Amino acid sequence: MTDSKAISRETLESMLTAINMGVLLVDKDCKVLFSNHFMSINSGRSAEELVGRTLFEAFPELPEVWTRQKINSVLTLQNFAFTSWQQRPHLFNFESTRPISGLVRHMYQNCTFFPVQDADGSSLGVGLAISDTTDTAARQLELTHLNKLLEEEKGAQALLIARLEDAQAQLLQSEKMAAIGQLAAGVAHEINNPIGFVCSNVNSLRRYLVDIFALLEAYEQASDESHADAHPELAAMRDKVDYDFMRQDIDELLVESVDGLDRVTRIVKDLREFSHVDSYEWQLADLHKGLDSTLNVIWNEIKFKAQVIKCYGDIEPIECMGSQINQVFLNLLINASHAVGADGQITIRSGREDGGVFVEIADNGHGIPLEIQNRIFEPFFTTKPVGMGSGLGLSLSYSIIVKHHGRLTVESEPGRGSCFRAWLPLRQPQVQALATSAAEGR
Amino acid sequence: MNAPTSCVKRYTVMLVDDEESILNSLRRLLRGKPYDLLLATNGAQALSLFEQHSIDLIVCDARMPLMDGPTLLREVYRRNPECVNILLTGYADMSMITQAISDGYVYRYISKPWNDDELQRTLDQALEMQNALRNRDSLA
Repeated sequence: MTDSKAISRETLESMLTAINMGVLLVDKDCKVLFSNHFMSINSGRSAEELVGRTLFEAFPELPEVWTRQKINSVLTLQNFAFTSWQQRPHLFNFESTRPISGLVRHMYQNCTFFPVQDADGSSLGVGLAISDTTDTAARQLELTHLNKLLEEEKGAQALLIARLEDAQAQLLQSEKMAAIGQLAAGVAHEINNPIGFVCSNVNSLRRYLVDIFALLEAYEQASDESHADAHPELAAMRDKVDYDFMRQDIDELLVESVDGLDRVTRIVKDLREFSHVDSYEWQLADLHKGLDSTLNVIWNEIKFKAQVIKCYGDIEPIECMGSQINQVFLNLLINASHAVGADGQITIRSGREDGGVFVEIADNGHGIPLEIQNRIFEPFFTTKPVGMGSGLGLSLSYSIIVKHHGRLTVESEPGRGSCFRAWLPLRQPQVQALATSAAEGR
Repeated sequence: MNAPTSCVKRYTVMLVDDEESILNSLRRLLRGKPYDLLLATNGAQALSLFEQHSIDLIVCDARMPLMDGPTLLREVYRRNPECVNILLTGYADMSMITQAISDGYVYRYISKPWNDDELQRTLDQALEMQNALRNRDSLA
């Protein structure tokens, strides 16, 4: 080591003094033996003021217990100890001036404790090397902050994507509904023509038959027994065609046909309403009255199947298209009556909620299987036998409630029953806006 | 004292629809009425019948090929505003109907499928009103 011999003790000391990091040497009692420029500049005290004092007199901000532990462990183990700015950001209470902004802030420091030996190899004390890590720390902290912001943004975007997916699904659904609606309106128009003349013809036929039968009766009365004896073939023919039965059955046949036509007409009307071809007036309506009148209309369907329990709450009239809301009640009640078996029970509840009113129609029927619960509001979806349901009742009801800015939901447990719940606002938002703008205009 | 039969005024009523089954069923419905019925399956035929006869009332389908109901009735109204026009429509194109009614050339509209009683009542009322107007005008 000829080179090191060439470097004098003074040179080494001045290097230690000038180096751009803090250097301290303390003995086992923590008395300061050496302190460099960096320490003086940052603490504002000269080396003379620092040397000879204990570390804790010189730097009162140092945590004494912790520091002593560090120093003792270095002395005992004769090994390094380290503390980083993340663990103890400001070990020494120094300030740091930012190079560009000139902003003054606490200095972040890393500190290494290392054993220092005497010339003869015995332990002299512990050296402390303190480095300014404010730049690194600032960058790191900023990165952490940015990372956090990015994470937040990522979360917000994930939320947004979920909402977009939701909106997309809704859009698809409503497009599907609109397409079906258009189709339905076209079909309804085409069906209305033939229904029109078939209905009218059946009525004409009934009138004709009344006349024909009256005529036949008149003939019968006019022909006396001698006439019947003279024409036995007439009686035979009468028996052959089973005139009496036919006479009776024609009435029934016509009633059934008219009933069938009514049903077709109703389905077409449902289709048209479903496609929003027809509109009605908005007015204040008492839902309980609507429920009662609807119950009256379908009492024949329900009375033998289920007991109806009314638990009406205290609700005020709401702004709605009464006939359409009744249609919803009708569909829900009919469905409930179809769902129940023996000892059927249909419970109608109403009340206020969320600044609106709700009506619940619950049954103790067979319930809706889980796998089809999300399909029941789809148009043409039906589980009823062919001819029993058009598959439009619930989808129509759903679109009516949505048009009223309300919600139609279902809770169902297979085997236990279903509960359909319609929530409706007291007033319609658009109509309200119109009313206020009209009031402002005045 | 007039004989009761002479009191029954006969009206000339024209039915227009491109579907003959509709015309037939309307004809059956109005059979017992004191109407002389004329049937037309398109607008051109209807207009030519309108030229040849003095028609009191027209029941006309809205949707027909070549000339639709409102166009035909507008033309009829232009020629003789006294004739009462009733539009029969299978689909509720409200804007078209309200336009036709506010322009004055359609007296009423009846939607398909029609209710027999309602249709008869509408015709009765329309002709009664026309009669009353004519009586008033003859007094003036």
